Amino acid sequence: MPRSDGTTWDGVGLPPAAQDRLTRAADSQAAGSLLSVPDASALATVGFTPVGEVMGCIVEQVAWRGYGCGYGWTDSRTVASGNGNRWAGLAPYVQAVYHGWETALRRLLMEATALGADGVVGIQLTQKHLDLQNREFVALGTAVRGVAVGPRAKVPFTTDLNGTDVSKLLHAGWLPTGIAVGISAGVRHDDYRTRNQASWWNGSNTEITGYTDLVSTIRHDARTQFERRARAHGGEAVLVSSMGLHVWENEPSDNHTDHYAEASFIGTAATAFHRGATAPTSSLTVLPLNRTKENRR
Amino acid sequence: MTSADAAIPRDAINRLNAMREGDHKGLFTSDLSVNEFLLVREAGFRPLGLVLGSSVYHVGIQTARWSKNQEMTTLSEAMYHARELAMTRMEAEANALGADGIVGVRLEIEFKEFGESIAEFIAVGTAVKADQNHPLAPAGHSWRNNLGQPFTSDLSGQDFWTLLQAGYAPLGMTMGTCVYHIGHQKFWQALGNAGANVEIPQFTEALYDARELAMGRMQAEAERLEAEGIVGVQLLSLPHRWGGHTTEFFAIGTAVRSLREDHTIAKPTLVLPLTD
Repeated sequence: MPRSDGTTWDGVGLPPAAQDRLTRAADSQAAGSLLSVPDASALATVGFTPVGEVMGCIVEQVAWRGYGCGYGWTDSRTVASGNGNRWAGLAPYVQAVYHGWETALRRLLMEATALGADGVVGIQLTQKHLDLQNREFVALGTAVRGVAVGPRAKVPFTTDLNGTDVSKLLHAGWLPTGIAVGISAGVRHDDYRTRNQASWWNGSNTEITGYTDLVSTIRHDARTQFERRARAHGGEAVLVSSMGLHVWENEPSDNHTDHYAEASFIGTAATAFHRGATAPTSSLTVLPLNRTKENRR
Repeated sequence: MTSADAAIPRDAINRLNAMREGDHKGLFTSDLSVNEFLLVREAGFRPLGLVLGSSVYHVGIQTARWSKNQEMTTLSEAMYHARELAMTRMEAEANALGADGIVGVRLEIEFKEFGESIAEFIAVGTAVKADQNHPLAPAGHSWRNNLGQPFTSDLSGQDFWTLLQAGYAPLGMTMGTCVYHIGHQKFWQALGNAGANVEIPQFTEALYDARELAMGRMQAEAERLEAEGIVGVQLLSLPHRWGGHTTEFFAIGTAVRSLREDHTIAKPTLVLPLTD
């Protein structure tokens, strides 16, 4: 949307539409929220009320991915994006994806700060491919504010945990500090040994050491980066909410096959504020009188 | 929590503001849910970190006689070996962290689209360490099992908590697998059964045999751990990619032993949830 003076948004701060919405919210008594009823009431028990739903989004062109495949006739190596080389092993691609998530989360946080929030709960991170090169990164959550008077945290906390989970953590003496994303991608050339182990005419059972190395290295790199980013939020605990791995094949030329892997970790860092040796949890053994499914989450 | 210290407690704000300025302590990661995390802590265990083991494996080829019931030993061995590799690597990570056990273990197989018989076997869990002078452990108790390994358990945090309250401790995940080829009916047999409601004894027998092999192997693993029993057993039929007549029968559960003589837990309170 062009501004009244005809110029378009320069990419600094928030887009005009978001600014307008924040101005409207400041004048309004009503606050939006994406919380379910159990979420809202659970948060109320720890003194949080919603101040509005907040969003951050960016459309980004992700075109150049990097080059190189760690070629070797019998001794290829896995090239991970986090290995320090600026261009090798999909590093530019991973930097672009990081930029997407970081910008989306930063804009979400700007909205939350403008609303005077203490935290943002239930953040959903979604990524949508608009066409071959352009993708949209969206972060969407509900900003909440505490009733207590006194000092406030300098930066609102962010979490992908829902309202009931945040409330349970607070009751037990833990506070979420921030949401973290860790990504890594990499490539490995299919060398002679890998091709032998993986080929269909190999009738015996064997581990494909090259592929195991690829997925392990990439996952490990993603975990390291995830932990480093979670650590930056502060806290002693990180609750991982999702981890993913995708492997695919690429044939840049005849008789030359590479395998790529991309791994991601998303989760929330938390810190303990209880003073005792153990968290003051007190569970009650209850037997619900409805049919419940076994579930872990 | 009273309304005076509601929202973000002052202690937390102080810590938070201090930590953002760079005062870090040890950090652990875990894929436990909030419920599980809090219950594991209450059960007297401290999470040390997410542990993970993986193996990308090429499963060999074996042909079966069209009409014969038989175990596909090459395939059974592959499923065993690859899972073992993933589990051992996960346990090695836990060992490096000095863990007493691994809870919430998930053991998954994902066949890859880029290869006919290539699959990734992955084991993920949270390494934990028992609090010192754990109230539930008898004097001189070691949480590690008789093989000197950290215990492993695929139970959820909720089940883990309840198991400990009832006076049991997990020893290790036990599994048994059997890839079985169920013979096709011979031509004259199929013709004779056409249009009739009859049992096909050959098929029934095959399914019995295969399940028995899988469960027997799981039991043997539990005996090796000197377990008292196996809880949370799942008996799965996994068709994977071998067509309709070749199936993996997979039994998996957590072997347990007693921590004390009696096994009573507090009588649960009945609740009527107001949600679905």
